[in-house]
Amino acid sequence: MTILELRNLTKVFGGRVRAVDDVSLTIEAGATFGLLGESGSGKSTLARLIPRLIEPTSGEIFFEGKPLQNLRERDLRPVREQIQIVFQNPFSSLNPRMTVRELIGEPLYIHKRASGAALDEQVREMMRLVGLNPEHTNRFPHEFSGGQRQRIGIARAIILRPKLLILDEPTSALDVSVQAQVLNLLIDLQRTLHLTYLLITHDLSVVRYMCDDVALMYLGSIVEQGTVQRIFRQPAHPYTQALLRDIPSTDPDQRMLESVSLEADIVSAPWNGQGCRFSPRCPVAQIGECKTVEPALVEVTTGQRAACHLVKPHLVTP
Amino acid sequence: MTQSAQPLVEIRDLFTEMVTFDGVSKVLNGVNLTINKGDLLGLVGETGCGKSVTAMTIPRLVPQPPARYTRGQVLFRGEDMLTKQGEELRQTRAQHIGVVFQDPMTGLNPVFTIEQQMVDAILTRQQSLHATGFFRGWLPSNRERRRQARERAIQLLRRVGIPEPEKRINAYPHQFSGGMRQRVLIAMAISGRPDLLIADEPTTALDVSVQAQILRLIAELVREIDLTVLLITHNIGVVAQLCNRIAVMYAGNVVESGPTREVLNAPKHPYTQGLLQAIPSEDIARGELVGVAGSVPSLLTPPPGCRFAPRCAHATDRCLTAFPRTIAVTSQHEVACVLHEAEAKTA
Repeated sequence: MTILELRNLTKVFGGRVRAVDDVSLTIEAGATFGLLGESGSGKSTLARLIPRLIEPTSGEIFFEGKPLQNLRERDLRPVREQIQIVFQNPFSSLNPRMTVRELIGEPLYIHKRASGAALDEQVREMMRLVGLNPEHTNRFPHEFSGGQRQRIGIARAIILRPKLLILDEPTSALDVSVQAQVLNLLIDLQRTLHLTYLLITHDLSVVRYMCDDVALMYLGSIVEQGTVQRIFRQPAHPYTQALLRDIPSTDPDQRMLESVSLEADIVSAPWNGQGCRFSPRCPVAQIGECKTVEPALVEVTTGQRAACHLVKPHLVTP
Repeated sequence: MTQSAQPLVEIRDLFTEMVTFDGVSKVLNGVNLTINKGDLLGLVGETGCGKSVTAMTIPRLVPQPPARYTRGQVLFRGEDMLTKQGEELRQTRAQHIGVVFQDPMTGLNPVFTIEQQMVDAILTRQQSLHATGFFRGWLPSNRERRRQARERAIQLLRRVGIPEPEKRINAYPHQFSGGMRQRVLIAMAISGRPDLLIADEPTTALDVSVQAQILRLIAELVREIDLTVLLITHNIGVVAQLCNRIAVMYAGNVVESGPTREVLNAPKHPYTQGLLQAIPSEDIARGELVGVAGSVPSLLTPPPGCRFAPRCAHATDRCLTAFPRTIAVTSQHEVACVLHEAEAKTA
């Protein structure tokens, strides 16, 4: 069953910055969908568009088949209970003046689900669920480590029992040993609470570990999409190929630095709005089509779509 | 250590404390670290383990207070940096050490152009040299010196891969991307032809493709100019790809060090093993990643014995009380853990 569908979603800031440009995707209930991209690719904007924390310029959002784009604020509330976000930075996303009890219990209070002793009981239950000591309800965020703070952020997001959890770089501020704990907690919670995840990250190894499907964003648009298995084994788009090459492997025998890779960056090789948006940095871009016609996202093989003129579907081994 | 290797930096038994509002934090607990000439040493560890404090002690960039050096020596080119002060310290920094800091967004002043900042850096270094008579008797006019410094800046920018440096030098930092700013900072750090380049998380704020470019640049510079690099990072992949030696820190100690290949292929310390297992890799199925249980101890009241013992699966009663000595398991591979005492090479 499809839980979330985005159709041609676009967000333009200030009339000219196309932060999210014609993005369409579907997420199946119970799956973990990874959204990969470098900084500035529009992934966090996309996350905020889904529960309409910011308003899309155009396009449609369907949650469990229901369109959200025309709902009034009042009718949006029950939907937002179902869609919760865990933010990136566990240091700035928690109010330092609030206790853990207030932080985790706030959603219940706002959505008038519980109060008093019932609220306290639910907060303690959540704390147990995410691996925090329930006796620490009166402590403040600064008394916790980064990993524990992210657990508070997770508890706060799941206390309303949402169906879809948007995780915006949930572990990028954490050290690897703590990251492993938090990722495993997320996997456990998904099993026990039947959650669907939209995981936004720039870390390819996290996607490979956590996700079923993945979409790669570049300058606001999806350049490749498919199952994790497929994309990590046989990336079709030159951008995906370059990213996979550029993850520094912990195996010293794999020599990454000797391979040639992408030149420049998003800022120093800007896209002029014509042709393929990746062409200014693309190692294989050609004069002609690449510079004049914007490639569409087309199926290259079952379970894999790419937006590149040079990817010829029949040449990709299934 | 091989016979031919010449040590550039030798940190011996360094103890450092930080005075905080909550008490005295025992930040470094007997750090031993040698950097040989020509080394590309990766210093890895998690947040708060003391890697930056250890590295920044070499140019003495750790403010005192709050820092307090209670024991140990930091030998740089055979001289103890801990006893140096004032002009002598400035001299050593100007002539021999370059530093690249983590955040390319804050490393440059937003209200000055790249030219102003680079020329200032180059001239300040020269002035330090003039002050001791390094160039005594040869003092070109101010204007001439600025012109020369500008030439040098352009040359450096070209070297670190800034396109059209003659034009770009007039830009302000915000007109540069994160990767380009980091290139500018590297250019400034090598402008004095240092012997030692300290790079503190130089690629942490960058995207992977830009990170790969910067790492390639550092590797090229090491080959081209006679440079020794101390790279601080929490990314073991970066060390595996770039460095010939690695040192792993945990809660104020170097727990394991040696040739990168040897340490990463056969890690000896339980912490190094845990750290490597915590990185999601291709062959780990979902839910099967093993982290390091527990969390880093408070350095205000650190564990009396091995600082990793409370999180270690192999810890014995002895680990909880006695501090482990450093054992050489091969000629260059050292580990501070009692589990490997039997393997100790007799000197």
